[in-house]
Amino acid sequence: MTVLPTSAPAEEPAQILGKKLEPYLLVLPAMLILAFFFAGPAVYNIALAFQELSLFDLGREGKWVGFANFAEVLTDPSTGQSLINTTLWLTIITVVLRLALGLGLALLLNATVFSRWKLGWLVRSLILVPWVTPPVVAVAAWKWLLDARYGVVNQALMGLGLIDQGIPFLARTSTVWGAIETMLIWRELPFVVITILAALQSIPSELREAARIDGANEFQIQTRIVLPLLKPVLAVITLLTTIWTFNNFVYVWLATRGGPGDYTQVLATQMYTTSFVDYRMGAGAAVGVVMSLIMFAFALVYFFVIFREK
Amino acid sequence: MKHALWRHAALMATGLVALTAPVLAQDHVNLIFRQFDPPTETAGLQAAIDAWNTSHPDIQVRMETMAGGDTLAQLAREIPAGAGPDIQHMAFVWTRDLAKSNLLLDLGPLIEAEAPGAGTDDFLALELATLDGKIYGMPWSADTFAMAYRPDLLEAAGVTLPDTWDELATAAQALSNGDGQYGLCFPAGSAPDSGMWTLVNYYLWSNGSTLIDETAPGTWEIVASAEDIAAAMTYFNGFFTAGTAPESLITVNSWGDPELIGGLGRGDCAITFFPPQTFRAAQGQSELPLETGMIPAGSEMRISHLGGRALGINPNSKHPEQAWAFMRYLLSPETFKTYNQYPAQESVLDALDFPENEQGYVDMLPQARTFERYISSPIAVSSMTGLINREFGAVFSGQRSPEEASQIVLDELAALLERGKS
Repeated sequence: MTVLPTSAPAEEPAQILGKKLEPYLLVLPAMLILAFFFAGPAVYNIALAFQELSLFDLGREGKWVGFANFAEVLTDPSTGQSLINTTLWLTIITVVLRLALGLGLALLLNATVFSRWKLGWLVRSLILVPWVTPPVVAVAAWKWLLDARYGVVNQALMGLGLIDQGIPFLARTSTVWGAIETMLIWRELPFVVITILAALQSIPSELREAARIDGANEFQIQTRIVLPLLKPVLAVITLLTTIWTFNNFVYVWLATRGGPGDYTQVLATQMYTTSFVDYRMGAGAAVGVVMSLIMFAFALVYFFVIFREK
Repeated sequence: MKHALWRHAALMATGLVALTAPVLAQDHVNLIFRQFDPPTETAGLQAAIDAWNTSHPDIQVRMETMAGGDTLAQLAREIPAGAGPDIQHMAFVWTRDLAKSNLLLDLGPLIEAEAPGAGTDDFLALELATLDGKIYGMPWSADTFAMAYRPDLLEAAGVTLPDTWDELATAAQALSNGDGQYGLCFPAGSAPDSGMWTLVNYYLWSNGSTLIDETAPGTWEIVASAEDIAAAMTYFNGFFTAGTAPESLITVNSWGDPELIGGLGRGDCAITFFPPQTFRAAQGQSELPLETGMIPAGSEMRISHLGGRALGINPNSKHPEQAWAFMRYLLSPETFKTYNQYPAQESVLDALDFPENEQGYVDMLPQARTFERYISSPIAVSSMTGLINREFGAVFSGQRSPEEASQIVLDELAALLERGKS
């Protein structure tokens, strides 16, 4: 008697449906979390930007005013100044300096001398100290360091005979941006250094050795081999640090509150004062939407320029 | 058998506890009281709350402390969401804003059931806590500003206590020695909550001006001229240009900043202005005695503002009666035995003995006026404060001339007034 091969039992429609739904069910919790904590507030903020609503009436629906808040924000002369401050003084200068300093420091830390003396762990730990300091603490400490009468920086400058009287760095328009940028770069530099260092250490040493055998000097190795290989990492660091800095509120607010006068007002502090000093949540939300659109446009252009070869 | 009996008894006891626990818990009320004085100034208040908790095991109160600058926005977020503390410590100027949006409980029925202290007529600045005839907050502490100074430095410089704004500028000159001692210190920061706002108004009011006023019932107008504001800017900027106030104060926003408190104690500053609790903190840090005097007079009058704190109940509180009982305790003379503030009740205030070196406050209190003239206006007081501090800061740092900055103030005030009306 021969046994005929039997086909697999047909699946029930419910089983088929279950299998089809399975991937969606698996990602559902993550999607719900994203919707609740990210998409929800973002949509609410966009809706708020089209309303006139007081801080004290957050529980109610505001008066719908169309694009009036955007028109007001975009025609306000102080927005232009805040945009320049945010883009140039806060973002471009600090991002460029962080990349330059970060690359230089990472190359130094990658030197074989540290591993030879078994000091790699120490310098990597030390470089992380500013990064693990909370920004609030970092700014408070820097404000004391820069104090005109009792600050260490002024005492040192006076001790060296470079100045006769302490400089109130945060009170003068000539020095205030430099002071804020110093605080920001000191605190945020380790991220750049550590990320580039990790990328450097992932470059196979055989590539360098092969180049040396082919007669390349150290400068040529760095510019022709190392830098091109670092390009994707540098691109991501540039994008991230630009977005984080452009949206940053903490450094300026804690250091100067936008002062003296409105000299260091940036878009983030303008958004805060509009919402929580003038109590105009709709206009404040409009500033936030404008900031998001600028960064969205920047990210699109940036990716297009950086990765167009691909 | 014996074990089974024990097991049954234990189960029954557990069941009984489970059933009665919620009932017992309901008898024991927990309240949250949120306040925003800095932690360095809350020991007396905490002592008063501890005393309440000891004598009221059925109503236990926990004190929360939050930074003053964040408190209002936090309340505005929490209360519409059904949360927030039961009892809230508020600046006088916030009460109506919160009440307008139903973020405070109408205290009328509670007051009717059991009035606080010697009755509501006894409370100073009650009008600031009243909206459409209903009371939404009880004034709790009251204070004003006085000139605080180092008598030894004035004596050494042969300077008598200045009585007018002009005399103050002259005295500051004599008290500045060019070697780290300055005649006058004040918070000249540009932050929206900078103390500069207070001085600007004293100067304007005492010289017969004010930013805005209700010129006829329901009609609000800008009163100060560009010249008035520019004159105030020039006056205060004069301390920096003359070197009689340290330039570093352009970054100082708070009256309680160590630059001011410590500066007076160390002798870096000869004269400043303080509310009472800050003066006491400065005296605590100074080895030499400090004194208080009256705010300088202008061409029209001598004036300061009557500031202070109010208490309110959250409309979300599940225990308004208990919250009211605790609030009446906070308002009572009992609390002020340890709470280091001036009470906002005339009868309690009259019974207080002021230290000799706080005579400046005793003299200024009768001449102090609330910010009522601004609170009732269509412009948010915080917007006006932010505008004034920003533009004065712009002058101090040389960004704008007094003429340019004063014109910006007038233009923005006009825009704020227009928006407020609409």
